[in-house]
Amino acid sequence: MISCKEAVEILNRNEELSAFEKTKLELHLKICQCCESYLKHLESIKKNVSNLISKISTVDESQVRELEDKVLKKINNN
Amino acid sequence: MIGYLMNEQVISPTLLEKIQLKDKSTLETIVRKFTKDLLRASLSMGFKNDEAQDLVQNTWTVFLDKCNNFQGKSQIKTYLFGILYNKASELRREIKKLERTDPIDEIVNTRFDQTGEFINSPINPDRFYQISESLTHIHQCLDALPLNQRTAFCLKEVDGLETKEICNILNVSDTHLNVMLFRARNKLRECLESKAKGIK
Repeated sequence: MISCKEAVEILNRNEELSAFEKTKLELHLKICQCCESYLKHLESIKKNVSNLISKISTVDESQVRELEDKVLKKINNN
Repeated sequence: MIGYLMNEQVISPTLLEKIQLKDKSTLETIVRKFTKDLLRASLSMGFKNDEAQDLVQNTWTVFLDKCNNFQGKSQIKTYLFGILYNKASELRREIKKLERTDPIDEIVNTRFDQTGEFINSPINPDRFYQISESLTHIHQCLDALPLNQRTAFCLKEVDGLETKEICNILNVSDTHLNVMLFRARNKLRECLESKAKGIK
């Protein structure tokens, strides 16, 4: 049985997990409320940061156009 | 750039040649294609609108300056994002590389007892969700991240880019990227959890 600390470490991996690691993690999550909460926290963060980013990075097309034109002007003057 | 990640030619020889020769219509196509992405990326990094616009212009200036040496070993977008990230770090005067230590590493450690079990349970997931759903809270917590961690997190979790590509943009190894992502996630989690506890 892995510890919470190991489970948290595995939950933070960015590569594909091996079948063995997956099983160890699933077993741990089944009986451990703490790590299940931790996992749900990470999921909430991902979702809500994505929402926030899509809000703050909305740009209007005319502004983009204007910016492109400025850059292109520089190219054409070169 | 990191050699072992960059040894494949990913751009067609014809296009590469046009870029290197600074062919005007090719450059125009590229500018029209990627300016919006660059602007959105700058805003995602937390820059205000006019700063973001300046950053995008500076990115293009560097690109136009260097494109005769562009080797086509990464996608144009990856290459541009790399330049943008460098310019953004300069503007913020932040270190691009991984810091050896970060207070969050110790904070995460203190959450566990000697056998590696959680000392206190992370807060109720529904309550956590409620707090993180508030734009004000999540914005404050995201703004508290250093640029390298924030960028790593956004490229991975929001844009869903491949690890290799993110490493190319940030110019770090995948081990370093993993550390940055660990720190970003756990800082966000601790920040939001403390807000949840503070408000009650």
